[in-house]
Amino acid sequence: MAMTRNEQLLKVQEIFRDVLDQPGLCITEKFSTADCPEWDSVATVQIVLATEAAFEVRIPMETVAGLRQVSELLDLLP
Amino acid sequence: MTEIAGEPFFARALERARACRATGDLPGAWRELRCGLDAPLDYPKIVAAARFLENTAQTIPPEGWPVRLVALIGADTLTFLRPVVRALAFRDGWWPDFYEAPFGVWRQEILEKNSALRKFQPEITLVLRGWRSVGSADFDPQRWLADEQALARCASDGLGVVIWPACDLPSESGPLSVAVTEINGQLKAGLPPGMLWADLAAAQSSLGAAWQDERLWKSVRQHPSPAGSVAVVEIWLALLRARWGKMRKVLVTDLDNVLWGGVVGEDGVDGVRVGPGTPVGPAHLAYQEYLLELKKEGVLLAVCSKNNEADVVEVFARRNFPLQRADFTGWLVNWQDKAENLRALAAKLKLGLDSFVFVDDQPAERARVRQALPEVAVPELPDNPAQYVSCLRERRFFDTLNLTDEDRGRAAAYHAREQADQLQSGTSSIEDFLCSLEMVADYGKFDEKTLDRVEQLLARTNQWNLTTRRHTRVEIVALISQPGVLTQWFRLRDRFGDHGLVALWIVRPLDNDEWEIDSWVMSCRVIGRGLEDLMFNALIDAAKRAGAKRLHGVFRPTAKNSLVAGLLPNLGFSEVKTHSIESEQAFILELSTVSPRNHFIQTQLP
Repeated sequence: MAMTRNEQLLKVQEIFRDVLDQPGLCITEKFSTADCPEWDSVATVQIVLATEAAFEVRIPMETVAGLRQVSELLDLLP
Repeated sequence: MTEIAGEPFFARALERARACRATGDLPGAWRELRCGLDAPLDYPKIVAAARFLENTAQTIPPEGWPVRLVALIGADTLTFLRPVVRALAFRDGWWPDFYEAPFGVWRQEILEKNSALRKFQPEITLVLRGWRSVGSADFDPQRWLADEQALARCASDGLGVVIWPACDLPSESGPLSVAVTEINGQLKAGLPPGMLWADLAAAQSSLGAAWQDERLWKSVRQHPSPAGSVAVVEIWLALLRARWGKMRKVLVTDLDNVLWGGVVGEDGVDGVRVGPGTPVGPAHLAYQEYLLELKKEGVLLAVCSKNNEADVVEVFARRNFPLQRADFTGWLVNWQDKAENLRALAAKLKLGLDSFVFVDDQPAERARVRQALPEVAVPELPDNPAQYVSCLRERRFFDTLNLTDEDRGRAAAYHAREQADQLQSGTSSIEDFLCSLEMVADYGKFDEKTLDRVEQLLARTNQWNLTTRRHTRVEIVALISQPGVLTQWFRLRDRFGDHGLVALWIVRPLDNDEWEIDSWVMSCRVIGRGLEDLMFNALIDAAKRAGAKRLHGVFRPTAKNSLVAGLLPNLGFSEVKTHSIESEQAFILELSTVSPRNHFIQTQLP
C-alpha cells in the first residue's frame, strides 16, 4: 500500500531532524532553505541520499542543485 | 551478546551526546561524540558529527582546544570536505577555523599578494584538485605541469603548512591517466621543500569505483565521491599528525580472536586458528602480517591479554606463526585491568599514552580503556576479523613523513634498552651501571646524510626537549647556512645495541660574544644515560671555539617536557628574572666559569 503524502512528509521530517541535528524540528511542505540557515548544499545532498535510502528510490541528481523546499522533494517521491 | 560495531555504535554515541547537550553538559557531549568517532565511519556519520559540533559549539571550540586557521582551496567544490575536516580534526583533538576559497579562483588566491586567502594567514593550507578539472579537451601535460609547479612554489610562502595533492587518476585508463601518473611523479620530485605531498593512489585504488560519483559531480561538482573525500581527509590529517610529531607509535593487541581465531584457554594450543583451513584463519593471518609490516616501519608491538601466560608462551613456541614472541616489545599477559597494564607499559617504554593504539575485540575492554585513558586511540573493531586490517589502515595511525633507518631499528633499540633496564636492577650504583653499559658516542655537524633524522627528531621529540621548536627542513637548512650557527647530532651505542642518531643541539649567535641554545633534544630511548653531560661538554667546547663568552638558554614548558625543567640550572646556568616572555624561563651561563661534566660515555670522532 502506497504511503500518503502526509506519511511521506513525516518520514522526511525524521531525515531532516537527523541531518540538521535538530531533534525537535517540525517541517511543513513550505519549509525551505530560507527558514533554516543550516540547510546548506551539504545538507541538501545528505537529505537526498538519505531520502533515496529510506524510500528505495533514485532521485535525479540534476534536481538537487535547485532543491530549496520540502514540497519539491516530496514531488520527486512515488 | 556482542555489541555491533559501526552504525548502532555511532548512532548511540550521538544519541548520548545529544542528551548531554540537552542538559548543558558540554564536556559530556564532546566525550560521547569522540567515542562515536571511534566507529568505522562513512560520510553520513561524519557529516552528522560535524553538524552536531557546529550546532553545539557555534564558533566557540571546546574549551582549551587548540584552534588552527585552515584554508581549503582547490579547483572543485570543497564545501563537502569541510565537515569531514571538522569532525576528524575533532577526533584528533583540535578545532579548525576555516577559510574556503570561492569556487573557481584558487589559482588567483594563491598567486595574488592581497587575496583573501593571504589575508587570512592560514596555519594550514589544504589543496585539492582532481583529474576532472584538468582533463579538458585542450589538455597539455607540459603546460599543466609548469603551471602546477609555479603555483606550488608560490604557495610554499606564507600559507603555513601546505599539503599539495597528487592528481587522482581518471576512471578510464588512456592517454590522460598516463600523463597524470607521469606528472604526479615530476610534481612530487620537484615539490618545494617543506611542503607535504598527499599521495592519493592507494586510497583511490582501494575504493575502486566508489572513488568517484558521477551523479554528484554532474549536479553539485563534488569530486571525489563522499567516500573518496573521507579518504582524502584521513590522508591530510595523518600528514599533519606526522608533521606535529603526533603519530601513534605503539600498537597494543589482544590475543584471543584477534591475533588468532578462537580462545586458547578453551580451544587449546593446537586449536587456535591462523592461516588457511578454517573460515577465520586467513583473517588472523592477514592481521599478523599487517603487524609485522608495522614493526618493519618502526612501530612498537605489545601484547595485552587476559590469559594464562604459560598457554600463550606455548602457542608462540609450538605454532608456526609469522609473528614471534620476540616481535613484541611489550608483553602484558595477566588477569589485571588492561588500563593499568597500559599505564605501566607507557611508563616502561617512556612513551606517552597518546602514542598508543589499543586493539581488542571485547567491547567492554575497549570501553574501559576509553574511559580510563582517553589519550589512547581505541578503534571500534568490526565484528568480522576479515575487516580488522582495513579498519586499522583507514585510520592511518602510524603514518610518518618519510621512513628513516632509525624507524626500522627502533624496536631493536627498545629491546636493547629493556636488557639495559634489567641490568640496572642487578647492579648497585648508578655509576657502576652506566659504566657497565660500555657506551660509545660519535657526533658531527648536521649534513645532507643526517638531515632526515634531524628533522624527524625535532618534529617528534616531546619529552626531552628544551624549547620544542619544530623547525621544518627549510628552516634547518636556512639555519645551517647562517654564519656562526653551531649544530651537532649525536649517535649512541652500547653493549646491547646501536641506538642510532638520538640527540642534537642547535646553538646560534645573538651578537658579538653572546650565543643562544635554539634547540636541545634527546630521544626518550636514551634518557638517563648521561648523554646530556657529554652533549653539554661538546656544546661548551664548540661555543668557546666560536668565540662565545656567555651562553643563553630558555626553557619553554609544554605539557610533556617537565623532564628538562631543571636541566639548565643543574648545568650551572643562572636564571634571568627580567625575561620578557612570560611563558618561558630564561637562563645565562658565563663560559669562563664552566668546567666539563663527568659522564660514562666514550667518544669516537667520525
